Amino acid sequence: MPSRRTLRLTFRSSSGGIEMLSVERLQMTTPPQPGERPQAGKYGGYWFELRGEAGDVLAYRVIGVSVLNSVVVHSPEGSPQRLFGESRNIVFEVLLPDIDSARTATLVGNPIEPGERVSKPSADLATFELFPPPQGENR
Amino acid sequence: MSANDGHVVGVVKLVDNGPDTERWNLVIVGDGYQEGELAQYHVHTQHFVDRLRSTAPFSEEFGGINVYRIDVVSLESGADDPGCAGGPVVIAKTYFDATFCSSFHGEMLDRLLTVDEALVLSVSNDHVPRKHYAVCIVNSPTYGGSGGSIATCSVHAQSATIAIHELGHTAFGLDDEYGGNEDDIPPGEPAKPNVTRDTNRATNKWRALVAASTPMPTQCNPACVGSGCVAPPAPPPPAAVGTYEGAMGKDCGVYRPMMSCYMRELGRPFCLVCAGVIRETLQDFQPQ
Repeated sequence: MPSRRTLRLTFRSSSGGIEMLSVERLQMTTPPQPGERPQAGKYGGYWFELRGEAGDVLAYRVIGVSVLNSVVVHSPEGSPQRLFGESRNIVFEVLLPDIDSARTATLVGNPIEPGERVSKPSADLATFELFPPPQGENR
Repeated sequence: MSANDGHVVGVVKLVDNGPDTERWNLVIVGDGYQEGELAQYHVHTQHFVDRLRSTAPFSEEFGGINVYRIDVVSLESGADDPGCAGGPVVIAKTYFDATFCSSFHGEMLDRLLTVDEALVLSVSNDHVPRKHYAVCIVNSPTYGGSGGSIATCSVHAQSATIAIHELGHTAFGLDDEYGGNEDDIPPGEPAKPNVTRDTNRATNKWRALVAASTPMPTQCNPACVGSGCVAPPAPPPPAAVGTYEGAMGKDCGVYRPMMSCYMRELGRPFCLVCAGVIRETLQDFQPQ
């Protein structure tokens, strides 16, 4: 059964790091997350894990690297090209199921060090307390 | 060149397939449309919706999608163009501050058309609280677009394909399937469902779609030395799902499921793995 209650977490990413701007609790269907659940250390990329009190993973959402440190340049003549660079200054949203026992959202992924290649294994990068939310509203 | 340069007129539910609580809600906003150009914006929006509706697998799952159009008026028409491609410098006062030649990593990229994404998210959420994803259509005939937290595209005939490709990234968690010289691929098995380093048919993440007769790896890039890809003795059957070397902006050592895909070349059909991911995501939004 799909979850009809959704958390919309809004973040700002910049060279200074990632901050959570708001948590919204919405009466809407949460998109499922197809595919295997990634595990820190074994998988590469970036994803958010919704965790309970004991750190148990209740749900996860894989996010695009494009929100963190790259852009795609498209061309009408051929294939697109992805360019990597320093962390982007961007606001982005993450949708996760609104589960009563959830306590934190943790960004997991490969550390991005300014001026260095993304070469370290994935690990917890930042953890955000969900409640009470920093701001936001119920809709 | 900001929200001071226009105003929001209102919102229209363009495609109504049911309550927002149960559908996947797409929001479209426009930038660089003056009041007298809103009728044009409505036509451009409809073109995009028609394009999406006719693209498989969205065509099969469209009953689970609602589409909203937010009408936004800008003081001036078009988008900023600082002239990085050699053309004249154009400055347009628009609500979402659309601009070509956006800068990334110190370089101005002429086709990189961006808008104030935070403002698009804010306006979308204010008018359609149950929004899942937003697209911004910019009133310029010049080819361009971008992805990120939203998709942005111009009204160039081929630009809608940019928005659909970017939707694949942000809304459906798909990675790029084109190659390139990128060295900055994170170590480990990619978290995305449509790219892999694993060519073992017993453990590969899309192994359920790989026929026993398809070699693994299925195709190697001959230019890749030391990637570990061992080319099969015979070419794969056409349209076979397997592991084809080159994905995630890297030519060697990373694999995609098929030769061709929307996530590799704009406007091509989505490969079976990507189509499956989109279908699986939208299944939960279908009317019972």
